[in-house]
Amino acid sequence: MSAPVLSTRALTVGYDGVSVATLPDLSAAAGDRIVIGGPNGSGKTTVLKTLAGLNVPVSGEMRGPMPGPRGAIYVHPSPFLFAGTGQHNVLLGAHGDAAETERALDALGALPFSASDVRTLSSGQRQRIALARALAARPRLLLVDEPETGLDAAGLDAWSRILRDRHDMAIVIATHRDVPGAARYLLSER
Amino acid sequence: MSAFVDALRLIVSGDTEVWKITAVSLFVSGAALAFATIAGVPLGYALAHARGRAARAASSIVHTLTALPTVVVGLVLYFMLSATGPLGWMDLLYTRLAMIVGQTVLALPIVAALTLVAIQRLPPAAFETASTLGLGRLTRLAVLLREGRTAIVSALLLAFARVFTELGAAVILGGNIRGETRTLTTVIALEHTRGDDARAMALGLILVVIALAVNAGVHSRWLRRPS
Amino acid sequence: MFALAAAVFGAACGPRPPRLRIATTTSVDSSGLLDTLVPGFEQEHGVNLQVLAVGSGQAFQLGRRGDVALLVTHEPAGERALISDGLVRYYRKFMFNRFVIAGPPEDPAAARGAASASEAMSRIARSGRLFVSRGDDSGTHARERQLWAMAGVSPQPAHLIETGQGMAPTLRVASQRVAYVLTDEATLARLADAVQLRVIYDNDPALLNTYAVMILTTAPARTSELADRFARWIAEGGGRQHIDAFRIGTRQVFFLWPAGLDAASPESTPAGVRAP
Repeated sequence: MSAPVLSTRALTVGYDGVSVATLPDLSAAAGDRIVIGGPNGSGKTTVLKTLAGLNVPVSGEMRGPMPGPRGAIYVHPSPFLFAGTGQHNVLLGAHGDAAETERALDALGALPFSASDVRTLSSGQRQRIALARALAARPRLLLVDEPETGLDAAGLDAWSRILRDRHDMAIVIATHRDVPGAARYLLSER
Repeated sequence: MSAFVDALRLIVSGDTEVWKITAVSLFVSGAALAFATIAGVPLGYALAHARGRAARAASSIVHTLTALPTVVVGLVLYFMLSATGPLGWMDLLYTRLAMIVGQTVLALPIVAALTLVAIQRLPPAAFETASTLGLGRLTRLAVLLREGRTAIVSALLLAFARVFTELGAAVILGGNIRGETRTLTTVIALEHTRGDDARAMALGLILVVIALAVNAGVHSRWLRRPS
Repeated sequence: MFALAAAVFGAACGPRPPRLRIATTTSVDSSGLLDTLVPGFEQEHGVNLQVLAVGSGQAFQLGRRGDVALLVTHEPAGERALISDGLVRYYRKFMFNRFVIAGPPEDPAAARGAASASEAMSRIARSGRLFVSRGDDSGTHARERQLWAMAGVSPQPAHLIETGQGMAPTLRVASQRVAYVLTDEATLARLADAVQLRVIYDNDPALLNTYAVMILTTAPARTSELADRFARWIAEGGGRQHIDAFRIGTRQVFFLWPAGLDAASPESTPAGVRAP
């Protein structure tokens, strides 16, 4: 058993000191899959952003990687792409590594439209670029918020392959759905 | 109306001095805008990211300075640059460089304040994405400025319009010296004082046309609304 | 890019022929005399002559602060003050013309019949007609105040309009408001077609307008020699031909200082020398 990538104890998340949700203690190592479930408004996004190191916890303990390459990467439900091409975005995630960029685009089947301006892409394509951008950073901890909302059929395929094959990273998903082999944590409605 | 016709005639006649004056105007205001951009855009960006009381105070100071009256800037710098002033040894008074300094002081707060607003108005997801990808300082600066480019370009446009059309600082710091520091605004004021209204009108027309053309050109290139 | 910008900047702001900066009153500039004097001097001496055209008040201020090396002014009292303060190294009267009292052609204040300029001014003040003043501490404004003092009366505040502007806009205001005004001959001659104003009174030594060139002790050492050259050129040298030949239309508006007349004191006037 490898050392955990992420572990929390009595973690309460929220904004500006106002708590939104309390998370059951969790621990994840490379290859682990964790699903954070719960009704809309139960704080799934806040939990993910906190685990990603983008939000300061209200209380409790958390050990996890810093945001960035080889660290924690968070993917928005409807992702923000920077102006330019898909390629440009993924290259930003890869911090300039062209080979890594190519691999990540390929993994999402995004190579055919990677040279297009992101403003011309469909929402499914945008989501795939965003996932490729996250993968290109080779995170140890990948946090994906509601991936199935925007993904198209090809994207969903690629996404399930990633969940199945990428044992180099722990993946935390906020979703209503079941993910095979994932530990499931439910947040209750406030 | 006859002044207007005389004005057109003067422009068409290709008076070389008129074009020299126009070139000086563009040079001085262009240089001022360049300096204000180099300093103001990073300043606005830094203020947009800064937190705490000092940062809030700095932001409101920058916003307030956008309203600096041009003559007051001219006057204060005049006293500093005058032969007996603290910076008199630099021998800058009544040079183009002095005018550039004055106009930079006028343009800088506009560029910084509107860059600050442009960056603040970006969606939170833009900042979060930059953070989660762990972008380095410079990459982050580049991508976020690019996101705010429309607002930043319009800030630069506004700053240019302000300095290109201002008279107060230009006349006090430049002195309206022929062939040196004579710009469109200072010579318009002079020609009016001299009573040569056809010339004043001709120069005014050039001033307006350039100001509008720069605006329209930049607008169609950068600020057009997506159809 | 940066190197290019620096190069362009350097070329635009960089070294050029020796520079002499002088201040002169707006009346000299507005008349167009400078447009012949400046190129004339620059060509003969290879000097970059930079002229600041300002009111006499501001010219004295620029001189006191050392921002210019040389002044051309037409305000004897202010010149005297500068001399008394020990700020003047060289002083010469070099030309003159006249102020004139101008006003509506029909002269409602009947100032034309006055025995002197001060009486004409006093008739204007007592008539309740409008008078337009420069109000800008210029040489013309100083003369105007002097004439009011000589007249022992001045217009009611309600009848006095202060423009705070140069001579040409002031003449326009006077024309618009059907008012009297004190002006230099040259500017009135140039605007003759544009304004409804006529010369009302001009024949009095008190209206003589004398121009002096001064080099200041505050002048930076490196421009001192150039200032000497310009002062001598305009007072004794090649500049005299330019002044003598200068015309507005066909009209001569500046006259050379007569040889043999005291040129070294501000109070000296060419009284009795009738302008042609």
